[in-house]
Amino acid sequence: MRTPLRAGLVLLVVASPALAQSVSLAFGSGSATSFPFNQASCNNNSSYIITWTATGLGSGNACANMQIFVTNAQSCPNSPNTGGSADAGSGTPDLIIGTVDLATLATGSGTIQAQRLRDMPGLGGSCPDGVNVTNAVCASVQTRAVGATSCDTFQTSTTNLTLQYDAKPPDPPSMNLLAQDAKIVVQLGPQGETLQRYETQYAEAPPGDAGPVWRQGPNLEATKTSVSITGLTNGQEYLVQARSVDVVDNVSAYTAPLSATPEASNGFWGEYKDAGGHELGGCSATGAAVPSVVGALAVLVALMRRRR
Amino acid sequence: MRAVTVAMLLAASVASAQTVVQIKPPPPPEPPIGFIFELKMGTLIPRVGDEPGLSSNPYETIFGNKSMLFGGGEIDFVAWRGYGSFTVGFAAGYAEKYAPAILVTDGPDNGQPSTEKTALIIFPLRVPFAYRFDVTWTRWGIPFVPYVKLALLMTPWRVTKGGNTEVVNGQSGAGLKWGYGFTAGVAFILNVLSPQMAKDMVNDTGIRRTYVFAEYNYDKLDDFGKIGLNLSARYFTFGLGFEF
Repeated sequence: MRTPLRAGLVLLVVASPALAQSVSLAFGSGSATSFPFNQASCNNNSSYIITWTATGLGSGNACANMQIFVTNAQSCPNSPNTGGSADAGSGTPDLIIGTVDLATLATGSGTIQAQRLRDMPGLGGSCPDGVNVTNAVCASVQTRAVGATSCDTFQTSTTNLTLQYDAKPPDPPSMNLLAQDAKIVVQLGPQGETLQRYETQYAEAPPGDAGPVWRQGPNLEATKTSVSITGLTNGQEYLVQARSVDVVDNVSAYTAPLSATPEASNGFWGEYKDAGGHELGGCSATGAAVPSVVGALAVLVALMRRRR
Repeated sequence: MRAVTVAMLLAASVASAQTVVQIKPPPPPEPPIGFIFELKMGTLIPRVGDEPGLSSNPYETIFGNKSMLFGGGEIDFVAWRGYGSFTVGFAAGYAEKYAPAILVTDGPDNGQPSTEKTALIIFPLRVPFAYRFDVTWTRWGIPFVPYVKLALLMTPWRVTKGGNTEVVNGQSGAGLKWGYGFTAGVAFILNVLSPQMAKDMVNDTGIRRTYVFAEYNYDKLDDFGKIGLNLSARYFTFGLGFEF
């Protein structure tokens, strides 16, 4: 005799395989969910590889082959849209990059052969200037529910994988200069886009109409906000300009040059020495002070150990 | 009727004879040795201008009359307990003061604040020997304990400008100063505010006394009279102490 508790347990066991169905995708063997690339990669016919992992799917519950496709849609649809009707707003049909049959699907994982980046929807085989195009990589398989005969459900990939074509240079950074003693602190900030780094140049302000002779300054990681140009001459006016580099190495134009003149300054130590201070710095251990301290500490430690 | 009255009186007298007299046990004797841990803070102005031969007080020039914020801790070993107690310990602290550096130019900006910060940073270390007149509490129950300390001082110090140690004419603005100091203070024993909580604290944590204190410090930190950077100071500190 089955008690309601046992019956519920049996139902749970039967239903659990259905609950465990999932499909996930990845770029190669990595864990990144975004694949940004620039115009040069596109022009060089660079490619990407997709690996898939499926759990709880096979001929028992999958009704058709799993399709892996690239779409312009904001999120993964139940099935690729390859016909005449393109995704709303994209103007291009989805691109199927792989089909996994039921037998292979049951093995649980696999790899789709390398695909050219330039073939993704929205690029259509070209590598246009000055645009950003983002596509999603999706997987979809039609399934039947437990106990059902009709195939009216879909299992789509759980990972949000995106291909990002970035041929648009970032905006130049915001910049501010702080003139200090023999150095200029360059404060930089992004203007919108996520950046990789900033690059700086500096030059002595030229007399008259002569053009500045730019020298490479220090680079700054985009996660930081300021960098110092050191070794400068106090009283000399300098010009500084900077540019942004985004995550796919697109480079912005340089900012308009700003000028600053480093000036000598005294900190407390400089002021002390200027006032005639005799201190030389360093460790000026005198007489028996060091042995006294060491001795006292030794006594303290000995007393503590004795207490234990 | 008379018999009943006599019987009631007898019963009452027997009951009163059963009254329990509670005798308060004497407090446990103070352990011969123990530990003290203190946290303290205060503000101080080093007497840099006391150095002979200075044309001005560079501390005032850079930092004005503003004090350095000091914080520190001290651990003491109660080495002897009799009429009061004698302790020896080790204390470490930290104090700093930041201000803009001062421009040194031939132009009108001379003497103006720079965008660069300068700082005086000190790490006061001391080995204090203290006498605490704690019989006020242990014998008389008065929750105020006066004490005095004599300490050997050593203070690593550093001056920064723009985040780095400032160097002038090849001389680095960092070093170590030695000296001695006197301290006088008074502690207020918090146990008096809640004796039951104090007993629980002894049983649960081993902390026999908790106290707040205020003390005056006279630190002579000039390498025992050698002419140089004078980091001597006279200042108050306040804090919280625990005796185990």
